[in-house]
Parts: sequence; structure tokens; C-alpha cells
Amino acid sequence: MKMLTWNTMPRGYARTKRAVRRASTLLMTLVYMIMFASLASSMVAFSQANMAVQDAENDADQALIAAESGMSFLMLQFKTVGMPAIKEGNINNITTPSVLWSGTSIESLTQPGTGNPSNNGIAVQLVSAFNSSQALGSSIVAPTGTADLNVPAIKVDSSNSKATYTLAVRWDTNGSNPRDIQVPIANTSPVQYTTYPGVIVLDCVSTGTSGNVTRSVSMQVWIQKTLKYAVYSNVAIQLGKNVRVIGDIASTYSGTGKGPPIQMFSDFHYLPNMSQMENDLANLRGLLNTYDTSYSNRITTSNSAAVTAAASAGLSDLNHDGYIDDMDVALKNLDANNNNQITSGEFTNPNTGKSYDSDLFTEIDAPEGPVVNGTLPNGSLPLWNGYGDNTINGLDGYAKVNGTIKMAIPFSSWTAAASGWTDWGDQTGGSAGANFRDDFEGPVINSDPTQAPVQFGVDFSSLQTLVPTNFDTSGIDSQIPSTTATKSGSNISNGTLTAAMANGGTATEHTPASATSGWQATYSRPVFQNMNFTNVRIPKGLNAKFVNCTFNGYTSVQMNTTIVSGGTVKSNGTITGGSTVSDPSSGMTYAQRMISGTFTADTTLTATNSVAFTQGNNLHFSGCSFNGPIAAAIPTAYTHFADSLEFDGVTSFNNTYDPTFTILAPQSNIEMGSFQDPGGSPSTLVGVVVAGNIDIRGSATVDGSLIVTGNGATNTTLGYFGSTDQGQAVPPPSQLPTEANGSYGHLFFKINPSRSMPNGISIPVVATPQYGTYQVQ
Amino acid sequence: MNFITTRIKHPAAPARKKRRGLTMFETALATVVVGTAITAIVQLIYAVTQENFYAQKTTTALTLANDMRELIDGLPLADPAVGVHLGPTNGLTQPSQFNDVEDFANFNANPPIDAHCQAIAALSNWKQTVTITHILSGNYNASDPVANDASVMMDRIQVLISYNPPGTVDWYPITTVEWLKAKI
Repeated sequence: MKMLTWNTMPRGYARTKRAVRRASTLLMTLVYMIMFASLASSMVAFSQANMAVQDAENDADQALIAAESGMSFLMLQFKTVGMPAIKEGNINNITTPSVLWSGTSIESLTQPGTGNPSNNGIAVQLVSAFNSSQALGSSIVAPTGTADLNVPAIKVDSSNSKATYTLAVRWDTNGSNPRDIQVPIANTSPVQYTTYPGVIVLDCVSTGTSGNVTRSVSMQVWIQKTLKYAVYSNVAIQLGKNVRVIGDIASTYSGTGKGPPIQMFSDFHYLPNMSQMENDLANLRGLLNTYDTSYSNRITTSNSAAVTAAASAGLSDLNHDGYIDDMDVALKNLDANNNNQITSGEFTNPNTGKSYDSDLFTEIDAPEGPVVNGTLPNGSLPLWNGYGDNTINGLDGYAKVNGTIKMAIPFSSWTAAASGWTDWGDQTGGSAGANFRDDFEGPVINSDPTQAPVQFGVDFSSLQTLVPTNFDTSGIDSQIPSTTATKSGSNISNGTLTAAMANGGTATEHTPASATSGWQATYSRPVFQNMNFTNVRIPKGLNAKFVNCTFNGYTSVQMNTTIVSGGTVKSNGTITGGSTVSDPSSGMTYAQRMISGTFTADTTLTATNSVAFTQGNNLHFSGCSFNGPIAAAIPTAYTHFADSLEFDGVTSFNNTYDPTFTILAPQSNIEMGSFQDPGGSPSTLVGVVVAGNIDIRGSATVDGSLIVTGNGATNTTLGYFGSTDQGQAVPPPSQLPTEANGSYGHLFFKINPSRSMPNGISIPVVATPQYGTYQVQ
Repeated sequence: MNFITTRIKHPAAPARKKRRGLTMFETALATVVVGTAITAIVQLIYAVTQENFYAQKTTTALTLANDMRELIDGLPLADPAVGVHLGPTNGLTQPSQFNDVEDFANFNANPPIDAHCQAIAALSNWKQTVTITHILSGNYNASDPVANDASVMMDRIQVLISYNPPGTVDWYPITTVEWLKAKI
């Protein structure tokens, strides 16, 4: 075998080998390059993917935030634009409900001085608001019929953000047919439902865009003809002891001369043999003045300094609800076994063997009466789990007000005027009204954290307000025959009463009749007693007293509706000439005008000497039962005693005839409940109760809304404030009348959205965002 | 085996010279190419690292911004007593005591706080800064400089998240979240 040596080796072989070596070096270089390039490429790709993910995350976040910003902007428009008014009590009663969307001059009503003077539809109003907001590049036009309202892209911030949002509002997919919507009531077992009648559902969609990402949020807005408040007043409101409200309270009173716009008195005052409770309430007031920045009379336990200060005062969050308030004071003093609830046994005064305050216990545990065979006295199911279980605990959800309190005056006005107000509230450690809680006690709890429970300086121009001119009771009066009523024995029906029908002679009495001082006038009245009335009209000038009578169907109260200043009083009490007035001061002057003689509060007014007597109607119902509602004519001015309804004695309201309202008397003065026996017969007033001014004492439930439209009276007192009509603080037990037998009575106001309003109240429909329907898409 | 060993050892001299020259050239070329590549790679790594740093920081920043947003958005816009304003009212200093959105105007949190107002000590190099601007009533795109203008119905809220790299004194803005909050 020949040895292969360098010399014998073929040349080509060697060259080839060298080439391979050179190429392998280059190849290695290329391999490295490829490796580096691949690594670099993968790093870039990875980094770009990372950045893309990050950008997408950022854009998704910004898009969602833009969408939510758009929804906030849209809800602001719903809040601020003037909604259209209708005279029907329910949208179900409108022939073409879609006019509420795109119509103009709806029902030929006008709303001068509001944001919707021509009474245009919601879409028309929204478009106008968007166009005037300067948020849009170019104007948009209102949709027609039930077409969608679409708003083009709006930048969240034209100078600092690329994110935009578009808006769409869609008319009810149910077409022109309003819906009755049932919503389950929390904390009820078996589950109960609130039925919202005559609802138009608007679907609102806000779509945010950032980069290539879009996100949408949607929410329903319900359009209803409804009242928004459990208690509404154009004058000051006083909530006394054992008065509880579920729903919102509003006082549009913007002055301070009549005292605080809303005063509240702790329900836990004046329990016998409970001096420590009074001390604790006084300590709580002091702590609240320092630490409660929400003015809801609750100290949040998230404020460690407040908790420490409260502990030093012997107070703590005993029921573990995150706040220190009246209920914790009650638990401290009444919960003997420290199990965070107060049984009826623990609420019994060992010194007397009686309940410390049976009205208060009822007010918290079973305000609408006891549960018998599973139902309340009105036939409905218990209002919440734990209702009527003879135990006060967290299930009862006690607050003085469960809802918001809205006041027109700014807080600065309150504090500036407070020192001039009478020390109305807490008698222990009071400081003559100098501190806020001297006039404002009791917890206010609102379930919506984005709405402050107590609000000052509220601009009511964009909120629901009510004045006497919004009302028209002629439709109710027209349902009663215009002829003289028919009398058969003790039954009178279907027509107009006359003084000749009275069967009890006459009575001369003050008005208010049971006031021991401070009465406004004295009347000589025909007396009807032990009679049954059905669908009757009480003509102006009757000024009757009804004793132990029963009223069925509608009761219409008539009076002169044109209140004038000046002119000449004729012998029949009418006035020729003069000018029509609407202010309560002129109304009082009118009421005191005489045909002959001089007016004093002690002058007996009759048909021969008084304008108020002949032209007005001052009625006194004593111990009467009302199975139907009462409506009164509406004068141009609040005339104090000239147009007045007084209910006392064992008066009961059980209106089963028309549940939309119990009293509709927007320019009348109403006194309800006994000055002497506030714990007397309980009544339930269903639907709307409207008065020019009203004072309610005794034990009553208002299952709907109380509306006080007048501005002539000093205040609306709800609860027992003593035996006079002069305005005073809640009297201590020692000053209660003997007839009261230690009772303050109790009042329970609960807004009831299930009830339709009566026809004849021309106010705007209400747009209510349904936050429970909020969805992110 | 011996046969191959002999072949490699004996005639190696001439070939070695040629291989050395080429190797030098190749090596130089490779050095240039690889060096350039490595330089590029280093720069790339730096850039990628920066991007990843940014991505990572942005994720943290977005979380902090949304924490602040969650904390703020659950409150009423204005103070119930003072009304429209900018900055803490009633002498409040702690965010846990703030009872309205506008209390947070010009609020800084370092270390940042979460949606429950709890300080996040582990992120002490981070800062949340809240800026609130009133939107002029009737002009969506204009701001209202009057802090207590009662006609204000909507605010523009910005939360800026800044980062302070360890060992430095400067704060670097990482992200800003901006939204509208109406008085509804």
C-alpha cells in the first residue's frame, strides 16, 4: 500500500482543504452573525411584543377611562338639562310616549324660568346641551321619532390626551310602550319587589377609543313621572323625636330667618332614667363637631384620631358597621348582654316596668305596624328581614334618615346664622345653636357613596322642585256632581254640601282648635257629626267642623282662588278691584280683611264679618275617618288660616279609593294630629300628600311623599313639638300634656316608587341613572 | 494511526504560512464583523432593556394610577359643606379622611397608596401626583381657574405616576391617567 505523503498527495486535495478551512472560518463568523442576528431579532421581537402588550394594556386602560368619562359627561347632561313636563301622573297615561324623546312643545305646557321653557323632548334637550357645551367640533341635530341620539367623538382632553369617546342614547327597545319594572328589595325574605310603573328605559352607551383599542360602558336611564323625595319643602323642616325617614329630604328654603332649613332631634333623647344616654349623646355631638366632615352625624372608624377621642369619651363602634353614631350610644346604654342588639326586654325601664319609649321601639323595629299572620296591617309583607321581631339590631337598618338631605343654603350661611337661632335641640350641654349639631342630630345614611348624605348649597334649578302652580285639582273636583249633595239620614253623597245639612249646631273655636296658645283666628262653624260622606264637595265659606264622620270616595274642598291686594270689600266678602297676589304676606293680609269690624285672633269670624270666612274654607275634622283622598282648590297665594284643614282626635286615613294621593292641597295650611295626645290613633297616608304647609303630630306613616309647596309658614314640623302652635323645641317628658301619657307618637316617612302620581301635577319627568345596570363591554 | 500522524507533521511548513495569512485576515474580518455585531447587540440590549424597563414600569405605574383612580372615583365630587373647591378642606391632611374628589387636588403620595389608602412601602421609589382642573361651565375645553366657582359641574382629573431610580434624585414621569368626573 502506497503511503500518502505531503509530496505524493494530490495538489487539489491540499487546496481544497485550505479552502474548506478558510470557508469554515467565514462560516463560523456567519454562524456567529446569524446567531447574534437571531438573538438580536428575537430580542427585538420580544421587546416589541412586550411593548405592544404594554401599549395595548395602556390603550385598553385609557379607552375604558375615556368611556367612563363619556358616561359621566352624559349623566351630567341628563342631570342638568330640563326634562319635559307632563300633566299625567304616569307615562302610561300618555297617548304617544315617544314625544318625551323627540317632541317639542309637549302638551302645550311651558316651563318659564327653567332649562326647558318650551317643554321639549329629552333628545332635543340633550342635543341642545351637547351643542352648547363646545365639546363637539360641529353641531349635531336632534333625532326624530324614536331614532338614536348619536354623539361623535369627543376628546377627553383636547390638549393632553389622545383618548376620545362617542356617546349613544337609544330610546326604549320596547317601542312606545312604557314598562312596569320589578326590582327586588334587598334584605327581604321571601324576596319582595318594588314595581316601578310606567318606565321608559333609555340605553346609554359610551365608547372610548385610545390607539386601536375601543372599550364601551353602558347603563340604563329610566324616565318616569315620579317624585324624588320622601319629604320636600319650600320652607324649613323640623324632624322631631321618633321621626324616621326612608328616602331623600329636600329643603329649597334659602333664607335663615325661619331657623335652620332642616332641623333634626335625636330619637334617643328623653328616655326616662337614662341620664347617661343624654351625656353620651352630648359627647357624641362634641365629637361629631370635630371629626364628622360629612355632616351625617357619624364618625368613621377610618379616622384613628376620632376613634381614639371617642374611646376616651366611652364611645366605640359597638355594632361594627364602621361608624360611631346614635345606635352605638343606644347599644352602650341598652344592650345589657352586649350582643349588639336590643330586645324589648332590654328596652324595658326597670324602674317602671314599662318600655322606655314604645313609640321609639316601634319606630325602629316595626314602623308600619306589627306583623300578624305574616303580613302588616295594610296587608303587605314585612319591609325587611327582622322587621317586627321585637329586637332592634342591624337588620332594622336604623338611621334618622336613610337617604340624602339636600339644602339650598350654603353651609357658611348656616354657621353665620346659627348663633341667632334658638337652642332648639339637645338640652344637654347645648351651646345656643352655635354648633351645627345643636340643631342637627341623628344619623343620615346614604347607600350611594358618590352622593354626600348631607348636601348644602344645592342648586335646585336642575333638580325637581314643586310650587303651587304645578298643581291642578280641577280634574278631581270634576268627578263630583256639581249639584247639591243628596242627604239620606246620616249619609250625604254625590254633590255639594250646604250648611243646612249640618246636624250638630254650631261651634265657636280657635284655629288650630287644640292649640293652647298661639292660635291664628276664631271661627263660628256649622257642625256635622256622625255622618257618612261619599264623593262630596265642601263649598267655600262652609268652614265646618266634622266630628266622628267618615269620608268615602273623593272629597273636594273649594275656596276662592284669586287672592287680591287692595280693592274694595263687598258685603258678601268678595273684593272688587285690587290686584292678584301670590306672596304669603299678602295672603295673610287678605285672610285678615273684614267686611265689618276689626280682625283679631279672638274675633269670631262669620259669614257676615270676614273675607276669610266667606271666601276661604277653614275646616276642622275631629275624629274622622278618610277612606278616600282629599283635594283642595288652589288659590294664587298661601292665605294661612283662610284656607286650612285641621285633623285631630282619633283621625284615621285609610285611603283605598285612589292610592295615588291622600291630600292634595298645595296652598292650604294643614294641621294633623293632636296637640294633646300625639300617641293617638295611627294613620297611613298613601301616595302623595301635598300641602301649602303642614304640621304632623301623632302616629302616622306616609307611604309615598310629603310635599310642602307653600312658603308662607315658618316651618313644617314633623313630630310632636308641644301643645302650642308657636314653634318650640321638643318638650321634655315633664312638659308633655297629661293626655299624652308620656308618648311622643312616631312618624314614619317612606318613599314608595311603586305608587303612580295623580293626574294634574304638571312637573317634569325624572331621569334616573340605574347604576345597577352599569356594564363594561 | 501512525500513517496519519506522519502526514500531518512532516509537510506542514509551507501550508502553515498560507494558513496564517488567511487566518489573520479572516480573524481581522471576523473581529470587525463580530465586533460590529456585538456593538450593535450591546446597543440593542440596552435599548431592549430600556424598553422592557419602560414596559415593566408602565405596568406598575398603571396599577398605581388605577389605585388612585379607584380611591378617588368613589367619592362625591365636591365637599358637602364647602362646595366646589381645590385641595383639602376642614384641615384634613390624610387621604383616608378626604371626603370628596376635590380634596385630592395637588395631592402627592410617596410612597404611593393603594385604593384602600394604605401606603405601599415596597414601592417607595414611586410617586402619585393628582392634578384636578375645573372645567369651565359652558366650555368643555376650557379650564376654570376659580377654585371655588360654584358653577363648576365637572372636573378633569390627572394622576401622574413618577419613578425615582435608586441612587438618583430625579423623578421621571412614567404615565398619566386622565378622566372626567361630573357632579352628578
